[in-house]
Amino acid sequence: MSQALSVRDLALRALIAGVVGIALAYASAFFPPALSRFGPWLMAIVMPMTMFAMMILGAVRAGRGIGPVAVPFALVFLLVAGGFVLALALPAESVSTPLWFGLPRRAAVILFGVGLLPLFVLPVVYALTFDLLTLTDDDLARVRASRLPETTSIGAREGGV
Amino acid sequence: MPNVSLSALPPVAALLQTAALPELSQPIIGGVAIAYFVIVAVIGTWASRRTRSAADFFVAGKGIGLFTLAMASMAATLSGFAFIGGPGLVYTVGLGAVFIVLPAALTNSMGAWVMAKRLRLLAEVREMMTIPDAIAARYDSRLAQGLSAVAIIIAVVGYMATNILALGLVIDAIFSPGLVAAIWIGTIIVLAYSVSGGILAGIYNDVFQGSLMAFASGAVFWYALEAGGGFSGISRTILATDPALLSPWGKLTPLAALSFYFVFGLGSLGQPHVIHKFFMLRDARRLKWFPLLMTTALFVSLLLFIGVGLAMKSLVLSGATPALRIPDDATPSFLLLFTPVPLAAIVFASVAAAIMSTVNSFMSIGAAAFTHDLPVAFGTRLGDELTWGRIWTVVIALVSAVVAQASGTLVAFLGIFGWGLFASTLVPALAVGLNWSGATRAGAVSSIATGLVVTLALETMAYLQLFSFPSGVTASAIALMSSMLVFFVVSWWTRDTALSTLAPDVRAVMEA
Repeated sequence: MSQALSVRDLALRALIAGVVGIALAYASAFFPPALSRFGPWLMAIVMPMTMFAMMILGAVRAGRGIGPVAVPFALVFLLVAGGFVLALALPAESVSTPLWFGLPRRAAVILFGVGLLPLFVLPVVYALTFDLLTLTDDDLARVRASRLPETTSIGAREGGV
Repeated sequence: MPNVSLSALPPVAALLQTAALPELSQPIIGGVAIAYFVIVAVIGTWASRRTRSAADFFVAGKGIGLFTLAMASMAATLSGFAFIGGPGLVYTVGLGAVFIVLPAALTNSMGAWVMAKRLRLLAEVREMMTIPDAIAARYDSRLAQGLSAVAIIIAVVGYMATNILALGLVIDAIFSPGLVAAIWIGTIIVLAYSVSGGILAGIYNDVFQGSLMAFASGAVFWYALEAGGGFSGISRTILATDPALLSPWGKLTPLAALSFYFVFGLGSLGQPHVIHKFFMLRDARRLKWFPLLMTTALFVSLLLFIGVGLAMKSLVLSGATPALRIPDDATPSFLLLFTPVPLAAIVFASVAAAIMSTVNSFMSIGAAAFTHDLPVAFGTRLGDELTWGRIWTVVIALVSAVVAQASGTLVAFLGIFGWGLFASTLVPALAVGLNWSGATRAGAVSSIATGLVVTLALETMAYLQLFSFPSGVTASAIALMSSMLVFFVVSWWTRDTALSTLAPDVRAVMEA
């Protein structure tokens, strides 16, 4: 239980830190170029962090943590954040630059690394871990059993404001 | 597009089709378009006979299967922009435009983990019809339900006006009845099946429309690569003349491109016309394969977006085809010059399909907000929600069609804040709130109000040219960040009340 709580807390803190980081990245655009050039670098890291923190928050289970999805999440996070950072760090291409899979190097990193590879990982991980981590028949039965007879069935309960 | 520089535009402004398409009045194109509309009408008629209750009308009787859910979600996600405006944007700014669709690698899986299970399980314990229903249940708050319904109504009318205008432009290009007549023809066609069959008709039309979109996109992508000499040929041609287009950010700044990714990535969690479809799945356990199916369908349907924009730029730069009149001509010109006419005809029908599936979804959630959410927020329920749902569907469609005939700039303005308004008002309260028991009613209400006010204020001031943001900073992004921060701060401030508004059944859903 404490492990699950700590994963959830960690994800929540990462989410809040990510949103603050994104705010700072945008704020940098209002400053002189010496400062504003750091904005995209910050954004490249905190934006994927925010999205993965959100995913962890959704995937974490009380008493079970995120178990088998931890490694795929970490790998895809590195792929996305690393792709953005590489695209910022690598030098611009010229007409004679060798192509990677038909594209200039940095474009290939973005299109294939950030855009394509995660397509093949996360949906498969979701399906493979669904029965273990996401929703079991027992979970479903427990939720159905929690249905309150006095619930008005729509929206807020009596007295809700 | 309005004549303003792209760097000054908020992201969503670049997604609006307000300029006329080239004339497409060829017999085969017209014939395929008519056949398409007939099939839509047949599906609509079939579905309308199965629509007997408000639950059928608004949530398809909670009886759809996995494939239907995936295709309908994909069709509702993509508007005509994926086929016309998107390739035009790639043609203009290069790979920077791809950051709009790049998050699709994550968003479907993220949506499944964060939203799908929780929303679907809420429908096990409560009578969920709308996204504001879910917010009300989570926070036991009619105020939160009413505020989110207001945000949805404002966004829906603007969004629908832009989509109806786009549909009018497509119909005008094919049949040449004049833009005003085309707008009304398009509106009446969507309205006919939406009023009679509600979301049930929309969902099954979405399956047909989504399949058409995926097929057309995949086929055109193949032709685009062939015409441009493969990725290598396209790259070499563009690099020799305009290499900035193939930089990872295209002609945008890195921050502007990354901003697309942020707004369209995280913002995807707050699009009610897509996420409310989770209520409709017959068996919650079938969600297992949802991300895989949805991602595959979306991926194939987005190939045209990237392929045609780059191929057309390469063909223009190499002199194989004349320069385009406007960027939005990229897809029509490519189809007419480089693909067989029957395929071009199917793609034009697909554009109409993409727009109509989105419009139907908007009609449904807009009508539900008027018929269901606002009365419930005021503590009452309308007697016959099915009839009232039909009435409000007509009203929303008529208002949107009238608005669509206003100036292109005004329509663009109304469409601009749709995505951002949905994202800033719904992502914190719903996406975070359903996964964090520490969220409070005050936090949710404050964040929805913040999203509403910040989006409307900033977009209006930008429209009136009272100020402009630095490149890469957008009103949508600022509104989303502001509402998230307010949500966390107010929830922390009022943390003592968190558990008192969490009903036991909702808590069971959140712990499942």
